[in-house]
Amino acid sequence: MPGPGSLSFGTISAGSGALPFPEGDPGGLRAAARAADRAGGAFERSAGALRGATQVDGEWSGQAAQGFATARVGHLEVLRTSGDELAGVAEALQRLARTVEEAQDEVRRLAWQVTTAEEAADRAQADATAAQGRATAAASALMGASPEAMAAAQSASDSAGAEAGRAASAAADAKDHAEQVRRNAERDAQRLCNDVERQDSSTAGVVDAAASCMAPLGGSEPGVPPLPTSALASFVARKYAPIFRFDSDEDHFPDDVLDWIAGERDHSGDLGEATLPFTYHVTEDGELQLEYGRFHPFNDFPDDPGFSDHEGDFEPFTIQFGRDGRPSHADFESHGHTRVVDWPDVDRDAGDRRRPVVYPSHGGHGNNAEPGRYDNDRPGVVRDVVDRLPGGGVGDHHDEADGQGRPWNPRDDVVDARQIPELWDDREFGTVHSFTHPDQGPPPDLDGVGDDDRHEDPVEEWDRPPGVHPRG
Amino acid sequence: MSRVVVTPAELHGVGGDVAAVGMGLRSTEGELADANGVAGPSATAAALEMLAAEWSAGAERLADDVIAFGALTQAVGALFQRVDHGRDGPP
Repeated sequence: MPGPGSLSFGTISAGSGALPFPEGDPGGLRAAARAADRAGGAFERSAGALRGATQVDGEWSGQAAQGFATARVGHLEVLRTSGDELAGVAEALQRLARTVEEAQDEVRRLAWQVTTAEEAADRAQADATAAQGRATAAASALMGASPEAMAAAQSASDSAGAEAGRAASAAADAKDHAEQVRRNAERDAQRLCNDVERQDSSTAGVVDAAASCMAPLGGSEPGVPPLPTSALASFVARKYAPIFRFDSDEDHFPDDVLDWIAGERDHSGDLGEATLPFTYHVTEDGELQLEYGRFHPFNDFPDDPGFSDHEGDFEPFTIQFGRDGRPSHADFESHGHTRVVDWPDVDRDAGDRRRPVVYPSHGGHGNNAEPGRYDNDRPGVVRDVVDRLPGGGVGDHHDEADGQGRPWNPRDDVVDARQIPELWDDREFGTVHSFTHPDQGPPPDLDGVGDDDRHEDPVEEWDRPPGVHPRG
Repeated sequence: MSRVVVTPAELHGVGGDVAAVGMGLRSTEGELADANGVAGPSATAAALEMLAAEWSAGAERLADDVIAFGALTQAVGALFQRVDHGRDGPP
């Protein structure tokens, strides 16, 4: 491998010119990667220690138990996420160090190639100049040659002239070659610089994400009280925020419930403005439940025009954490029916395995664990309600949830319902009122219909706005 | 309705263990110092500078918080113990 050329800002000398040189410090990047790896390991060990330290036997409920469970899961999640993020940073930095190092080595090699080609061209030019000098001298000798020496002088001049011609041709070829080598080297060096720049940008994104992971916790300042439970709950709620994949025919999307409370009546919803309120409970086992409530301004069942069309609808989706501080299962609620899916079987985002994917049905917006067509003859589903309505129902009803419509990733739009006075006033929804569709009469009472046994923990229910349709 | 069927002394012990985890976390505050001052590439170097600052502060805050979590758990255990003694003791 040739030695390094002379480096200046962003370039390396190469013969008579310079080549763009990839920016970066592979050794420094590797040292940073090792530091991130060490810190990540320390956080993961702390998570393991905390998990072991917080096993409490017995039955404990009430406010202190809720605070304990939230703090436990929240801290475990912060520590585990921190460890994961730092491991990701270490890996990304190692990759970048390798890319920078390989790119720099390659540009040094290109610079050496350019230098070598230009040196060869210079030598060929010098040879041509010398040959031309010899040809000129031979021609002069021919001019002054005696008649008896004329033949030999002619021969020498012809030979020198031919040699000068060959040398000139070789010099021209060498010059062309050197110029070609430089053009190729400049192109390849620029490409390598671009590759490094792209990877620099993506690595910076990984590092930024890790930094922002800590940002919600804030800095340590004297007098700053311990993290409120809501900060930990918000941290966990953001990390596990579901991703919604709507049906391809869906045209009534979620919206910001506060806009609705303020009087906006856009039935189509607005994903750009939508928020995802959440709250948290603790089970009698002392474990945390995160409940998300996706708010739709309007429900419009496509099969049964007029049936249960109504304004103002929260669609609950719940994640239950287990004793190890990790999710154990998820509850998909759909028109009063709760489907419980063990966490390993929950469809999750390929890029972030914490985040479940939910498939809301077209119009009615029930939450489904996978795409499909759902007959609503399931116990507890809206069919039961239909049969109880005057007139004995309105025909077969099913849900379509193909998951091929607009996706919604609300990670940055998760809001703690308990921190929003309009949504949560002394553990009651305060100012949300019923706006049932005038043609429908009151919404059917779904209380107790179809609840799964595993959902009947005596936990605090998320108190819903009076009159707002409670179950999809 | 709140319900407590846990041993207060166990809660007190759990609180102590949690606080110990918090003390251990303090040692991680300086771990990312080596990530600062990398010569480049520029975007990553700038992001690493921010990461080192955020994590140093965040780890300290987290350590404080875990220690406080442990202390609160101990306090709850102590409170339950007092309630139990008050209930079981002589009138």
